[in-house]
Amino acid sequence: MSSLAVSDAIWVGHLRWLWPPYRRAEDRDIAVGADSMMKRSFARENCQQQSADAYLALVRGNYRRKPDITQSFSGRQGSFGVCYSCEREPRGLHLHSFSNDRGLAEDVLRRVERKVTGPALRLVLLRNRIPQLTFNHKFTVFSAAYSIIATIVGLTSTFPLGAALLEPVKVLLGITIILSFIYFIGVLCAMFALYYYQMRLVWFA
Amino acid sequence: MVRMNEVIVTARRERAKQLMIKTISNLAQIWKYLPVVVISLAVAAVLLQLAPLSLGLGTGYVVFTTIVSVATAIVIVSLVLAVFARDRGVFKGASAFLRSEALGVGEAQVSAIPSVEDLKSAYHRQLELVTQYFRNKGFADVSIGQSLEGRNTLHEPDLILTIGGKKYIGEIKPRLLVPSDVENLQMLIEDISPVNRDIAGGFLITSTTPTSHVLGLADMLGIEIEILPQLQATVYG
Repeated sequence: MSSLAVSDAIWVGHLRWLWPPYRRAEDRDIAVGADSMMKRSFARENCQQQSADAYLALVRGNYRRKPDITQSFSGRQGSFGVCYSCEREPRGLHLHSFSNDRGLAEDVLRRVERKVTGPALRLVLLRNRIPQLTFNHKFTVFSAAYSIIATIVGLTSTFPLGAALLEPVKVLLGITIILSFIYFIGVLCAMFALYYYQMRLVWFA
Repeated sequence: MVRMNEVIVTARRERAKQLMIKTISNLAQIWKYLPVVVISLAVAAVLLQLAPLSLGLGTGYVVFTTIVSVATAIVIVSLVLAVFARDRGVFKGASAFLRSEALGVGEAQVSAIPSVEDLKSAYHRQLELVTQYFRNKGFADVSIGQSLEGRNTLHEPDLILTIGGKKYIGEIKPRLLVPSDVENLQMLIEDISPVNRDIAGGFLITSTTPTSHVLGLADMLGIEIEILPQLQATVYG
């Protein structure tokens, strides 16, 4: 592989979207998790980790300012660098590749990106949206309580109210209970998904 | 001319698509307020004595039934709209929009790309500050842009700091530190140590407070972390 003969290629994809300084301090752990995930993804692609300067040595002649490369990997598909800022892409996380077979390298980068950005984006989305859509779980508690209490009080004939309600009202009450229950189950599933992605990206990173 | 028209039409289509996505994502916000609306309607009906608390006993059940029916209809119509939007590929766009909005991508997309000269001058300002800080701290020599031979590669760290015959490697990262920054510096030190026996350790200079994970890792590997705003306060008082 001859250095300086060709310029390296840059893969931005959705990666840069992971890096903008986070609005909330607690989201910084996602950046740390993405960093570890990146290493594991390249390892799965049979790429060996090497010093970042090893990649820089390949491409130094292509840049007037030293790129902020933090991790570098090398495999039969080519050499890869994880970069945060360089003169070609100064706006955040992206990947560099230096390969004789650009198609093969792009396949690797696509797979690595999918493994890193997918869970991270979902985690950020769930973290931000669940409290918004549930008013900090006030509706979750309400819907669970409503499902249980309304079923016992309104639909069972042992209670005076349940026995006295007309049939159409009971049907409608039943519909609202089902909807409330579906909402509760939906939130529960979203919470499970949140913990799953948190486990993958943050806890075991 | 034809090419320019094509570009304009594409831009207009893109703008229309963006507007549609934005509208749908705004409509999706109704979900948040739906329970509030239903509860408010029910409370209002009870207070106005339109639906007596008997809930279906006597005449009140008609209004109560209407309220619940309207709420159910809203839910069903929203679901149908969501399915329709998904089939048209708009739902995907809307979710992408919400996702990007959650991440603040909009801001990132419009942020200007700094020129190489801007980046260089910012980097030089940071270098100047860091150099001054380490000189004040008692480091006899602070070299910039000097290369060091390693076992495998030639390294070019941002700074080489000398104190009492011992050398320290300094790397400036004007961003949030990630574990790889610490590991990479450790890897660099391990690579050059056999060739340069006087290497004693390394410094990472960052612009933001690192996470506890990074701090723990740096502590374990014996890498020291300095934070730029704190250096600035020390140097310029």
